[in-house]
Amino acid sequence: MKLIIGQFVPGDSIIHRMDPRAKLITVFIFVFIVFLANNPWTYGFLLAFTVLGILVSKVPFSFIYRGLKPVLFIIIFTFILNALFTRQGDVLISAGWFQLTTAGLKQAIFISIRLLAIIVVTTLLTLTTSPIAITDGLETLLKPLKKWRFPVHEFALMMSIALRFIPTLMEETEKIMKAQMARGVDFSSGSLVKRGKAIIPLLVPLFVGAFKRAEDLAMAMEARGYRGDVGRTKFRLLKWHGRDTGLLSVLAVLTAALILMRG
Amino acid sequence: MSRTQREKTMVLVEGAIVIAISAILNLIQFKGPWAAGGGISLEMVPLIVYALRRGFVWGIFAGFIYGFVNFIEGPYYLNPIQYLLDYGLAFLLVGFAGLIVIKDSDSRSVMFWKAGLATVISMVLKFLSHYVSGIVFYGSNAPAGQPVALYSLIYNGSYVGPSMIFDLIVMILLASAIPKYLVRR
Repeated sequence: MKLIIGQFVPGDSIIHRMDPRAKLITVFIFVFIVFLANNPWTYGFLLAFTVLGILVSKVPFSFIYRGLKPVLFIIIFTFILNALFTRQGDVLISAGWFQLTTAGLKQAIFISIRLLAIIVVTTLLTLTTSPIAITDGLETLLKPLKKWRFPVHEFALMMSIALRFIPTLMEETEKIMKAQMARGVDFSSGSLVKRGKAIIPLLVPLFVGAFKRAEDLAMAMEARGYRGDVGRTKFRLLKWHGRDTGLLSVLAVLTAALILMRG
Repeated sequence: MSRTQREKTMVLVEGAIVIAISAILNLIQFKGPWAAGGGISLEMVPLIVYALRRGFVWGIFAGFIYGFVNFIEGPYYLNPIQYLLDYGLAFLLVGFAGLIVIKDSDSRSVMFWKAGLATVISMVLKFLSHYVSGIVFYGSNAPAGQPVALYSLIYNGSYVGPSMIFDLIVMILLASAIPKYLVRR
């Protein structure tokens, strides 16, 4: 069993150093503008932006592939679906009910590019931005929602604590699992009922420990004067640089190009 | 610090740790013949336990945040509506388990029934959001005339179904092992 949490690959590329807010805004807008593309030119722009992102981020391709793996099935399925069931254009191959047309092939390629671009760009965000930075960025970007009484502070705090405790609890989980396996518990075979029974000795200490830990942590926070978000200052400050404006400018150019060149 | 603020801090921290447990359980995938889209995991169990303990509103909030954490763990983003359904709604709706209230005075069998019901409610709602998400996704990415609802039913049913049964077994076993942790505070 391999336990890897998060996807963040530390690095020093310009994308790594960008402000999480800039990256979040970019991804948020990008996933909408991809739908503007509708001809070879515009899909080419999307592909170029994506490839450029990969190259500039200097993230090894194997990491990007790992992010793509879970969706590869969907992309391939969608490709086949579009290739086989689009019945316009010239027929390229025809055998019985099976028919591949130029329009079908084009459609399949376009949609695959669109999906790949969306997935790679979102994966790049999580590959180049630490979970805590993403949380900080989200907190600032969601701040306007405070007007409608959305608990932005609580949201960010809960998320940071959760992210902070994942490694700690993971260690604990592994320890408990090893201890139970040493006693002969088999987590990975048997019927669902049998596996359910096997996992209870793991879950019970995990839950009991967690609720106890929550109590301790709440008390520790109280002792350090935590009073909700009233008058709270920040340890990690976000700074907006020229490169962040640069990223948004590139995005603006891409959007303009997509609108101008679409058929 | 006022009593209510202290109580709130406690509930908040507990939620955060429950989310962390969900994220870890999500990494322990149980492979099997059902796994068309990957294995099944127990990620929903801690969220259901939390919703039972702290009620509807906190349950929804924790589910909402877990959606973000889950996204950071491995984004699976196809389009904005799919994101809202698969990461927002699917986990947020777990809060509805919090409509069930287990009391200290409940008998063991009543506790089992309630824990089971809470699990079924949250899993059925989770399935529905993935199901609709699948329809929306193939609605915009498949040629017209394809039975997209059927694809979505097969794809999502193939893992949400076994997940529900597995979660149900585990929730009932938990209700028997640590009943007082499921009681509404």
